[in-house]
Amino acid sequence: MFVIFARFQQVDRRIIYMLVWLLIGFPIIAPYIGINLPILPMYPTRAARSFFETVESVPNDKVVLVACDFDPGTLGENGPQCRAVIEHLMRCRKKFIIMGLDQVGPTIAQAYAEELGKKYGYRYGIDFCNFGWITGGQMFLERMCRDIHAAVRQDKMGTPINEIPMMRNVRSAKDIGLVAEFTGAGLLPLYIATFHAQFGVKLAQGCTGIIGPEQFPYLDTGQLSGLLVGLKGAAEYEEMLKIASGGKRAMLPQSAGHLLIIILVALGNLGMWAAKRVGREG
Amino acid sequence: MFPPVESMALNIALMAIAVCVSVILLTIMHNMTPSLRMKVIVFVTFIAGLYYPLEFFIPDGTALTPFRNRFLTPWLNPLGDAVGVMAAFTVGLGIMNLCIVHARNIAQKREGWGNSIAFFVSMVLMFVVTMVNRYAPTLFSGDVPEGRMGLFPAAFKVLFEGAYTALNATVFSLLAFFITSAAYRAFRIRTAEAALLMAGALIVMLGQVPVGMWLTHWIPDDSVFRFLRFEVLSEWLLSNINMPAQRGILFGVWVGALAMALRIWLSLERGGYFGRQF
Repeated sequence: MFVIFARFQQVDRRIIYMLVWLLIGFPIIAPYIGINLPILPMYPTRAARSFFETVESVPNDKVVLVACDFDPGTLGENGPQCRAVIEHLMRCRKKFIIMGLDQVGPTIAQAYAEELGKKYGYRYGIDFCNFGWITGGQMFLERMCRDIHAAVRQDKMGTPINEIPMMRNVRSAKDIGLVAEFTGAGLLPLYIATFHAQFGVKLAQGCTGIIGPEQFPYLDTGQLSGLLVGLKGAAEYEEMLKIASGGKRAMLPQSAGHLLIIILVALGNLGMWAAKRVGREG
Repeated sequence: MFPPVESMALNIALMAIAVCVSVILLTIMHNMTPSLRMKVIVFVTFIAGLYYPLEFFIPDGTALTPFRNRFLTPWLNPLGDAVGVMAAFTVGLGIMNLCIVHARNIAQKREGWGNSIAFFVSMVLMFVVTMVNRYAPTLFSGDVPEGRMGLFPAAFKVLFEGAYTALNATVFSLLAFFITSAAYRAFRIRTAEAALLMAGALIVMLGQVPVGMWLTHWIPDDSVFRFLRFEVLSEWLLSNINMPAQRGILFGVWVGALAMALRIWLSLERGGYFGRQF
């Protein structure tokens, strides 16, 4: 008996890979082959609720800066977060600016804004605009806080900022009500040192699960007004918006993945314990 | 401080002057004795780094005041431009280094030299398609019917969205497989500390997914045992155990970063490239 259990500590990695593929892949593929799986219920955390309330509290005469500092590598987590927040901004009729310290993030957010814009009647240039990929890191943000029109001369499409109607009254950080950053990297200190520390602009962040624990100190100090961690953060936001998009749909495969890890770890430890018993008795 | 130059001719002339001045300065530096060259580098590094403490560190009561106007504040925009230009140089340096390494692989037919050919083909293809798409998107496209894309915009879409974006996401997705396999192999309860770590990981993992929340959601919201819900325990662990630890790490990291910045600024750093004479 113990000999059989002892084998559990040496499961072939190909079997593990196959299990991962099946358990995560099936719930993702299922809707495309006509199988409707249940959408699991979500219970929003305080940090997610705080993000939601911060978006709602942005004054109507200020814009929201949606900083998409993510690439396709973290699109699975940051994408649904960003999409849900953009949908919320549109519901609340808040104007917003998309930009990113990464090349692809602003392009992805633009696609979300265009898609959702059809539903909410949002028009480019009037209700939202896109500065695209921005280089220069903190120095750029310093300049942007003081004079957006000097720091960013044209938008993603090459239109001069002065010619974008919604930007006529948006000149500096004092016209920005909230910076919502979505990232898989540790770029938050750049925004804290500029927008928050110097100009008192509220910050909220959607980050990947892997860097989530690092962001909690900023939440405690009040430097972050809200935090969405990983896909769960996106699902929580969707729950508050009463929609079921990429975040909530991905909760089933994510649950399956987490359960698989827990079961495998338990099996590995059972195997180790059994192997010790076999060694002692044999 | 410096208004943007709109005239193309003037821009080209300024760029040519900048290149000439750079070449002259580099030639002078190259012909200096190593000790003199080092002194020049130390001096320039100090002057360049001096901007930040003078502008941001000195506590005169206006440092963190919006729209402060110290005597160095007008230089913020030009300095930002200069940083951008230097960042662009580092990209060029990186590309040059990559080309040298891969060209050597091909010339010496080292193991995996085929990958180096793939690198050159990808780089040239992406560069050409991106530049043409940006500056001459109608090239070789003739009359494109409405709703259709020209040759180069379509090629750019295929390469950027179809290849680069998909490959980037694919590489990151592999993490799911590796993390599962690594967790299975590494998480062994051999000590009491490992057991504690395992218990924490289990609670946080279950608190992060609806299945875990559902497991303990039968505990009523107004019950004194509500704290036993996985999502509540998970939030407590993250906010009360993880957060102080992370804060300690952050303090250590930033104090270390400050010390490192001071060492580089004052040219006290030795080892690697810092103390060498070129």
